[in-house]
Amino acid sequence: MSAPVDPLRLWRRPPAPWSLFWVAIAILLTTFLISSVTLFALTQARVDSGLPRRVPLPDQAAAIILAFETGDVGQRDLMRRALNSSDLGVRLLETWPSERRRGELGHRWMAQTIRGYLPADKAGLMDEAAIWFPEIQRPGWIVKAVQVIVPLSDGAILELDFRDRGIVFYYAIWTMGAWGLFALVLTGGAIIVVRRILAPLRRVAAAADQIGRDVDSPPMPEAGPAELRRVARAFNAMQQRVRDLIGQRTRMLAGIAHDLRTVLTRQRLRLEALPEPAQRAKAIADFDFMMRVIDTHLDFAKAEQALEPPTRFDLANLVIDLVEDAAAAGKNALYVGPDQAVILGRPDALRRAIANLIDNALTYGGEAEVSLRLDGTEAVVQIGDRGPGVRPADRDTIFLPYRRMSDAQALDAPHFGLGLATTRAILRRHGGDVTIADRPGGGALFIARWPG
Amino acid sequence: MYPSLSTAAPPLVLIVDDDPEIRAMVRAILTQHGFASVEAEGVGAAHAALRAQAFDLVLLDLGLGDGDGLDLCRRLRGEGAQPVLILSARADPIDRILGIEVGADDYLTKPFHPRELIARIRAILRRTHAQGVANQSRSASALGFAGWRLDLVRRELRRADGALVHLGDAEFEMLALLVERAQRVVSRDELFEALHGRLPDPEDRSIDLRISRLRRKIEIDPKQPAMIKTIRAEGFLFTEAVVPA
Repeated sequence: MSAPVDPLRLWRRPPAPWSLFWVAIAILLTTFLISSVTLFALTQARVDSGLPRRVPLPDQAAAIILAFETGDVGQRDLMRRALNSSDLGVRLLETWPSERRRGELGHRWMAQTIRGYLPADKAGLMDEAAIWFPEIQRPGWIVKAVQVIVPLSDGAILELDFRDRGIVFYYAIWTMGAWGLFALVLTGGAIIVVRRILAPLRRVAAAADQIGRDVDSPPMPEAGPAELRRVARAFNAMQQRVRDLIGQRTRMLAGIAHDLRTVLTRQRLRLEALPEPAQRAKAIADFDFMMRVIDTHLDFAKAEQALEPPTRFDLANLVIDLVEDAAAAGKNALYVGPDQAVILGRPDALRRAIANLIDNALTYGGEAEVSLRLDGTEAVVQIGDRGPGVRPADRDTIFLPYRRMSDAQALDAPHFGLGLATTRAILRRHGGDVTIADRPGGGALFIARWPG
Repeated sequence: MYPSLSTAAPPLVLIVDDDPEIRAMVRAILTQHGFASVEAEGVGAAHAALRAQAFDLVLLDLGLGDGDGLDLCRRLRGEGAQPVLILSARADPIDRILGIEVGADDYLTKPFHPRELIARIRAILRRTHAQGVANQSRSASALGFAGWRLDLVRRELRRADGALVHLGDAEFEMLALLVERAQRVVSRDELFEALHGRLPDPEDRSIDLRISRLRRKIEIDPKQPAMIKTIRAEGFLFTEAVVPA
């Protein structure tokens, strides 16, 4: 079973596209985006009421500057009085205040916005202006006051002192920042929550995968949300049924074989008494063939059950023996690899698995070049032949029982269509598998690998 | 007839099997190869026969009409007398291990080649005879040499680090014979006879092939063999000191 999910470590592998994970994240984010855009638009509409798409404070500042610049000079004092209120002070200065520099912009964006609201021929007024925040100088925070000083073209200096108004202008930026932060927190939270929800589902998928390969793998824990507990229970019941079925099948075959063996023993001893040597040899060959049918089917049935205890053994020695046997029988077999390679496994089963692959290569591919290497924690045995190769479409089905590369192969094939199926069952019982590739230079390459 | 087994009287074998035809035919094969034998059809009859006389070996079927052969085997070995060769239709490796664990000396699956049966019987008799002469004890079920361990009942060879080295049936028989007769020359004919229960054709090269395979497995340098030496015109000599393990 996989370890409990650590919510802080996000993932070993990113989830696949179109997995439930990304779908859930996408739905969450889309919902959030729509709601925040709507909310932002509503806020803006309220702030902008009457003057759509104009930012109120810079717009008002630009209007006042333009009125003083272009209006009647005699009316300036009247305008000043008309505009003065508790949150806007308007003053006309004779000289530039010594504490401010011309062109000192505490906030560049505000200056540019005011300039943008002025007619093109008056935009130059802002070149000499100063804008600053008397109370808090750091933009982005809540600002209580904004001062704007603009020299008019006739030499008068206009000072605008907005109080308790900056907050309105900065509200938008502050809101956007807050929403952004909120979005980040929400996204992070969503990833963690969705992962937590999906973790049991992933465990179910992994366990189902494992059971498909090895029916004796441990049952999945019946824990987590109610729905998944049900799935786990159903899976465990199914695994038990499959295991019982395989056990029954093996016992049935073993029972048939046992009963046949007693009769066949008598038959075998009677054959020995046949007087004519040629007839006797033929009868014994037929007899051995029958025994091979029984043993091959039993081998296949037992390949899915682990009866043989694992032990440390020399795999290289075992493979070299098989290659030597084939070579001694006049076949074109070759071994490439170390003289020794000690691993932990079931030697009889693995010997059968590799023997079947070598037989297969010699039968259908004319030769067998067998290589062995220990790759970290993995044992890798490759068997290359020079036959026609295996089409990609056949690379899985060829391992099904009773399949042969060609129907022309009669019953004298050594494993009756069970050799490769047996090999795959044995390797999967060892936690590994066997795959097929194209061999460089032509032919098939069977690759058996399993954790050693 | 067989110089390696020249004893005054022919070895006496008890055949325990509930199938009368199999008993009769096994008996015929034994007689043909120079053994004397007595038949018993079940556990009761086997006990009676064993009380009546001493046997050199018991050929034991497992599924008997009046009881389980494994129980009989356990009791026989408890009394510590004659070696047991189980002859059973139960073909699973686990059955073989069970049989060995209750004290059988060897396990042969039915149906069997008659030559194989004779070879296994001879191997057991040779072993018990050699050990009986050496120390009157049959305790050595495994032999050690130069860090290697040859388990005679499980029929397996392990290196000093415990790793199993696969031996074919014939290789095992040859190595067992050489190791049991360490420091003495074993002739080609003796090796062949131990394997096949008959004398070889002059052209047969299988002994040399198997010797070279054994050397590849246990010698440090198979090209300069130090353990299994070839003695010209005589046979092979196992040079290492062998101890019960």
